[in-house]
Amino acid sequence: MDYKQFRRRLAEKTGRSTTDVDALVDGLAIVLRESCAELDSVAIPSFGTFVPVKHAEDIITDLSTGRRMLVPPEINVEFRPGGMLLKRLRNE
Amino acid sequence: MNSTITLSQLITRLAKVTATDTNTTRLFLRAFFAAVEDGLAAGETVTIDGIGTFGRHGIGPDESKIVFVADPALAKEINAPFAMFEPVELADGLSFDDENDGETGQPQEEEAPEAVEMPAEEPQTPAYVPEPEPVSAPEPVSEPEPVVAQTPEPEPAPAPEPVSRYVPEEEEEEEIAVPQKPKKKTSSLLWICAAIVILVGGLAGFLAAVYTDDPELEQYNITDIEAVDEEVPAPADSFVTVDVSEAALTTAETTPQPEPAAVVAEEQQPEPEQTAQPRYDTVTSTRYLATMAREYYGRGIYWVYIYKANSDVLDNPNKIRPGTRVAIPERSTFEAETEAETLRKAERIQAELFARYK
Repeated sequence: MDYKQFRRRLAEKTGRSTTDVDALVDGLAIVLRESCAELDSVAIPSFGTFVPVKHAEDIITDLSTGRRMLVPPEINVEFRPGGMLLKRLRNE
Repeated sequence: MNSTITLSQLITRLAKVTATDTNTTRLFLRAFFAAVEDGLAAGETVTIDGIGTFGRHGIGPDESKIVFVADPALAKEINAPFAMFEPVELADGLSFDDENDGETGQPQEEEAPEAVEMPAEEPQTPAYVPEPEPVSAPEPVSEPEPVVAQTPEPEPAPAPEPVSRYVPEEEEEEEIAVPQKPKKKTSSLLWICAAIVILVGGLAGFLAAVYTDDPELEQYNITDIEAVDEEVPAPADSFVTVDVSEAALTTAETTPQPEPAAVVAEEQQPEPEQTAQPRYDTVTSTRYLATMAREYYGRGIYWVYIYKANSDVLDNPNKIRPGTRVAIPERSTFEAETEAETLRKAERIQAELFARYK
């Protein structure tokens, strides 16, 4: 399901226009971005938690070439599903 | 930082960002995550622009495993502080096991020297945020991935040793240098207290000496009396019995006589009184003016009044020849209204004489 389909479904569910849905989705993205940039997790009950994980700089080796690279630090957003979501998916 | 934002906080923030009310955002979030859940339950991969892609992964029992890949735009925004850095290839000879500064690696890229110097020295590059995360040394064993990839590893990634090493060393050095000061303060305080005690004791002794006769007079007792073998004519004839009557006093005023009796008369002028004939005494090697003053007046410091009464005969009070005859003035001639005033006056006269004949 691409974003257009998702947006349409969401508009139907909320009874709002796609424009409003776009604005709300963008707002949600902004909130997630700000929170994760500060390394704050966002917990959604019965759904899951968005957890920013910071990886410090690292040295990795390309075994094929033997070259060693110093990789700068990075923040990755991980999603940890909630129990209810996993239970539903298992039951499906 | 490192806190968890709850749903209510998310609703509030979203309402603030989108300039809507919290009811709207609450309903929207509920529908949003329900739609994602429905899509995942249907076995679909849900892609949301600006947030990421939710998908299911796994086969069989692991089919419920959910995979989330953040949208590139979201990842880029989050890692904006680190955007200026790029992976840098390290020199072959560079080793992070040693603590030495190490050879500055071959600056193949612009950022290479910075990266090479980092392990040895303090991080000059500001971007390598000095996260004090406990990191283990990078070892080849921990790098099993054959491909240079920046895929996130679930384990806390190791960081170059020198970066984590140098910071605690500095902290240790700072800690070591601290506890050496208090000892000096206590010893200096003790010295100060001792000095104060000595000063107070000395002052008390000085004051006691000032207001007691005996020790003071030791100074003025004539120790420098020159032993004179020659006979000193006692100016007995020069002394005239003083008649303290008013007539005598007036005549004394008009006739300036250098004789001590005249001096005595002048001093007696303001206070005419009936006195007996003045007394005389002779200075000897063991009998000084102070001795006479203590005997006649009860205070040795009143020698100054004897000296003043005989100032025409006496010069340096420290050097009075034995045999010098002096007149002993009456107490009433120099006594002030109070004993304290008399004493202060005597002290003043004494100071003047000392200053003169020092």
